[in-house]
Order: sequence, then structure tokens, then C-alpha cells
Amino acid sequence: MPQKILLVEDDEETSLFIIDALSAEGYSVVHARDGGIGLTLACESGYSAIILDRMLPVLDGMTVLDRMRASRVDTPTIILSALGSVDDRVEGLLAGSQDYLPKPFAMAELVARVHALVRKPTTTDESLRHVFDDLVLDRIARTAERGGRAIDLQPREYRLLEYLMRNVGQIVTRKMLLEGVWDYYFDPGTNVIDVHVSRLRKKLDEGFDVPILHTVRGVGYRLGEADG
Amino acid sequence: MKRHWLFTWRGLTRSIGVRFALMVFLLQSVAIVGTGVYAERAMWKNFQRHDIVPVRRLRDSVLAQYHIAGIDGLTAYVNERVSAGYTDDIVILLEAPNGRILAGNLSKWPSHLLGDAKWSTGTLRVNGAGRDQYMGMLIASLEGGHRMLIGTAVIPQERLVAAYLRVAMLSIALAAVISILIAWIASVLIARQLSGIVDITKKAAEGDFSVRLKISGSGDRFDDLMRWINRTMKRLESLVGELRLVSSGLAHDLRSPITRLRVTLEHAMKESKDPVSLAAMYKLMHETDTLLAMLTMTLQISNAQADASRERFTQVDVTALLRDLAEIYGPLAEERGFTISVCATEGMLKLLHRELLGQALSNLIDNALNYADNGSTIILSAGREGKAVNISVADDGVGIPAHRQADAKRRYGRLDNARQMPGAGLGLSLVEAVAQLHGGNMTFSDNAPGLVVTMSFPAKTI
Repeated sequence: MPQKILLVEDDEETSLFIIDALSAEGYSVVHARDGGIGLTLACESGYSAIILDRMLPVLDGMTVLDRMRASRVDTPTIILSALGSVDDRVEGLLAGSQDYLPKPFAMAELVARVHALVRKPTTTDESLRHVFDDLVLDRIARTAERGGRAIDLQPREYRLLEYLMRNVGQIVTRKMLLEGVWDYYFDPGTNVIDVHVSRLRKKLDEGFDVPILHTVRGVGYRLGEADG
Repeated sequence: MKRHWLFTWRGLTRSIGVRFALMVFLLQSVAIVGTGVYAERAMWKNFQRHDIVPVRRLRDSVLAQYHIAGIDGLTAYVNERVSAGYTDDIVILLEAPNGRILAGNLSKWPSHLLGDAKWSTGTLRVNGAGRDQYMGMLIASLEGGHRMLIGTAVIPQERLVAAYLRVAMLSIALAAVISILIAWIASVLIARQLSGIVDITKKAAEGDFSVRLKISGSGDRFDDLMRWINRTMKRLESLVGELRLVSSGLAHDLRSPITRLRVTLEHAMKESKDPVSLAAMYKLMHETDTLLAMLTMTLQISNAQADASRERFTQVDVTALLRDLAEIYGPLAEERGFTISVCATEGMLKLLHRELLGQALSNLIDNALNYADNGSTIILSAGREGKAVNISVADDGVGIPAHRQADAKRRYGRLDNARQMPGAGLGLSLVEAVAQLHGGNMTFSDNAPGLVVTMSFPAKTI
């Protein structure tokens, strides 16, 4: 049974692209064209995530979110905004959305974020140890080892690895890393994040035949099996 | 510390109020001195006319005896009059050419009175009088070298004139006080009219053209001025609004087709197996992302300029922000042969737009890494200098020559060494917009060698 995503977006073209992209990833997408229908549908159960545009006919996105949260509908929500300002992100997050994506966005970015949003918290998620294959992250000692060999990590590298392991098997974008690891919501332009990741990769994969941290060209990175 | 304008000569001479007071005072003084001189002259004339006439009559009546009976007759007459008892108010003296007193009620000729004086005054005591008298006197030269002094007591005009002069001085002092008062009132009235104009132009300089002045309706020149300022602001508001609409509208309109372009590319890349096509598509994808970044940056600049972002100011630990940026950029800088260091005092909490400031600083570090050829050090610093809080990014590269700095600041403006690099020439425009959003500005300075870009914020508002 595919996971159901509710898309509340009035722009036909954008909707088509989103539905297309998410369907290709195996999601089933329900589309609402205005805030009123969106709110009604959101109150039904069964959605793994909601993609909510800010500017909508009938009810705007922020009102829909407010009413949803007031009715104790806590489906993870990602807000899309055409305003393209970090201020809207703050407002969206304050209103109770889990994520925020300013337009224009890369479709891969939205897909990666939807993946992260619908990912069921695994038993290891909040546990004291993250384990993937031969890679172990000890969250108490804040240390990591691969194949029984300790990896010497800087504090920021540790947090980077922790973020990647929490999203193991998923694509994470550069933006997601900057937000999740550094708590910054601006675009650092050049390949700032790439350098951090390649340093971490060097420490993780050096001396091992099987690489564990992969670059997904044009999108971001993935910690996991080689073929994804 | 800079002294208040009231305490500097330059400040004083430039102050409208002080100039106005000086002008009023000068005009009043000229008027007072002018009328004073005229009044003094008139007074003298009046006094003299008033005093001389009776003395002249007295002289003529006495001289009548001389004309009838000669010098002996006159001597006898004067002797007779004096012994008959002149009042203390009259002085009379008849003197022979050898200086001998022939007759009269003075024991000797007053030394200060020369023979040719027509009208003289002075204090005398006549024989038998109990006190000194202020006398107005005439001298008559008689035949054979005889001379006669005759006079009556008069009001001492000098004292009156002195009193008058005192009054005049007092008037001038009063004029000074009045002119200061007038100047003060005028300054207050003018300042009240001007303060609105100063406020509105200050707001306009900060990018807010929405404020209008209240027209009093008096129809004076101030009203005219305010009306025209209001019209200018309205025009500026609509022009700037249109400009913003065009740039952000363009960015918005471009958003959908570019998003579609990217999605289509993503699809194509999934389907394509041909490595040559794939490589071309990656390149296309990269260019698309650059375009998207440009659009985002344009929208951010518009937002920062539109002032809407002011509501999102929070207390930002500037030092921590600089450290974070140094940490984020550290590995990349190292790869490019740079070291990044932070120079800032601890605990600099300022009311700022964290994300926009972060983006602006990030643009500056990015610029330094890309364009500071031959450089090896980037210093991020923050500190208070006088009334400003300065946040700057300094490198030790080739710098930007002074005559190219304006080009570097221009939106979409790119210098020669930047044309080969990806980017859109928007980075510094955003830095400037962010500085202005906080009421500050962006300046370039020479790091000898290298470039320092400083965002300077007014300390009292952040």
C-alpha cells in the first residue's frame, strides 16, 4: 500500500510536476486546489504528509495549518511559499509546519524532504546508538566506529554523520544538511557543504572496499547501500 | 568627543537661530544708536536755546549800561547790582585788561574760560552763596581789552545727556535680550515646521517613502514646500514600487518556467543512458541551479529593500554567527589556500535579521574565496566604533581599485576577474540591501593589500 500524500496547491502546472515526481517515487498523491478542500481532506486520516502552498484560494495556507493544528491533526506538513523569504519560513515553522521550502525549488529537493518527512521513526531513531551495516554511532559517547575501528571525528563531523544516519538510505540535499546540521537557512553558494561531506567520507570510507557515503549528482548525498 | 554646535565657533556662525539673533540685534542697535545720536543733538540744541536766550537778554541789558556810560558806568552799575543783592543764580564779573577785577560776584576769572568762548558751562560758587552752582555763561569782549562774564544757573545738560546715554545703553542691552528671544521663538517656529521635513527625508533616505507631511493650510511658503515634498515622496514611492515590482515580478514569473525546466531535466536524466547526453544535462542542471539561485537572491534583495523583513529582527550573537561561518567555510577555505579567522568581542548581541545577515556575510566570504587572488587570509570582524557597529570581511588579495568599486556595487555588475566565475553579480547588492535594511551602509576600504567590505550599522538602532 503506497503512502498517501496530500498536496494542497492551486497552480496547475506546479501540481502536475509535483504529482508526477512523487508518483515516480511510489507515493499516491491526493490533490486539493484550494484551502477549504485542503483543510477538509487534511482532517481525514491516512496521510503520511501534507504539502501545503501558502497562497491559496478560499483559505490561505497558514490558516489551513492553524485550523489543522487546532483540530489536533498533526500530520507532518511541508509549506511551499512563492514569497521566497526566510521570514516566511520562520512564520511557517512557528505555525507548526515541520518543514518549509521556498519557491523556486528543485523537485529533487522537495522529494528528498517529503522522504524525510514521511520516514517512520525507526526504533533506533531516538535510541542511544545508530547502526548501519558495520557503521556504529554512539550517541552518549558521541563517537563513531566502522568495522570495529574508531573514527576520529570533529564535533561538526559527528553532527553531520548523525544527521545522515538518522536519514539512512534517504537522499539528503545540501540545503537539508545546512539546515539540519548548522541551523542556517541561507545559500552558501559555492560547494561549502561538499567539502565537509567529502572530509567525512574520507574518514568513513578510507581503508574499506565498500563506500558507504554516496553523492547523488545534482541532488545531494545518501548514506547507505551503493545502489540506493 | 565632538562638541555640540553651540560650543564651536563654526557651529555658532552657521546656526540659523544665532545668525537671526545677530541680525535682529544689529538692526536694533543701529536703530537705537541712530535715533540716539539724533536725539542727543536735538537735546543739546534745545538746551542751549533754552539756556542761552535768558543769559543773552541779561547780558544785553547789562551791556546797555556800557553803551550809555562806558566802562566806568558799567563798573558802577555792576557794583550797584551786586551790592543790591543778585541771587545766587546769577554770575557776573567785569575784568580789566590787566586782569584786575573791576566788579562782580566772583573773586577771580574762572581759569577754564577763555576770552573767546561763546557759551560755556561750569560749576562755580558766587561770592556769598552757600553752594556751588552749575552755570551757563557768555563772555563779552569790551573795548580796550576789558571783558565781562555773565551767566545764570542752568540745568546741567551733561548729566542729562549722560543719563540719556545710560538709557540708550540699557536699550541696547534690552535689544540684545529681545533679539535673542525673537531668534529663539523664530528658531522654534522654524524648527517645528522643519522637523517634519527632516523626519520625512530621513525616512526616505532609509527607503521608506510612505510617510506624508501634514499641511497646515496657512498657504505660506512652508505649506508650498511641504506640498511639493509630499508630491516628490509620492512619485518616488510609485517609482521605487514599480522598480521593485518589475524585479520581483520578473523573478516570480521566471520561477515557474525554470522549475519546469529543472523537472524536465531531472526526468530526462533518469531516462538517458548516453554518457555524452548525461554530461550535457548535468551541465544544464548546474546552469539551471545557478539561475534558481539568482532568482532567490533577487527576491531576497527585493524583500530586504521592501522593509518587510524588519519584523523579523531578533537578538543575534554576532560573534557566534561569525564563528559559525568561519567553521562552515573553514574546510573550503583550506582547500583554496586560505585561513579564516574571527576577530570580535564576546557576547555581541544585536537586533538583526539573522538569516539575511548570514546570507550577506556568506556572500562576502564567497567573494573573498573566489576573487581575492594571491590572498591567503580572510578575517571576519565585528566591533563598535563610535556610534556604529561594524561587521566586516577582510582579505589580503588583489583588492578592487577605487575607480572600479562603484561597478562592483552595481546590481548584476561584475568585474573582469569575476566574468569567468559562476555568479550573477548579485552578492554585493544583497549585502548593501541588508546593510540598508538595518539603517546602515556598505563600504569598501583598502586592506593594503586586499579588500575590506564593511557593513556599518547605527549602534542605537541595532
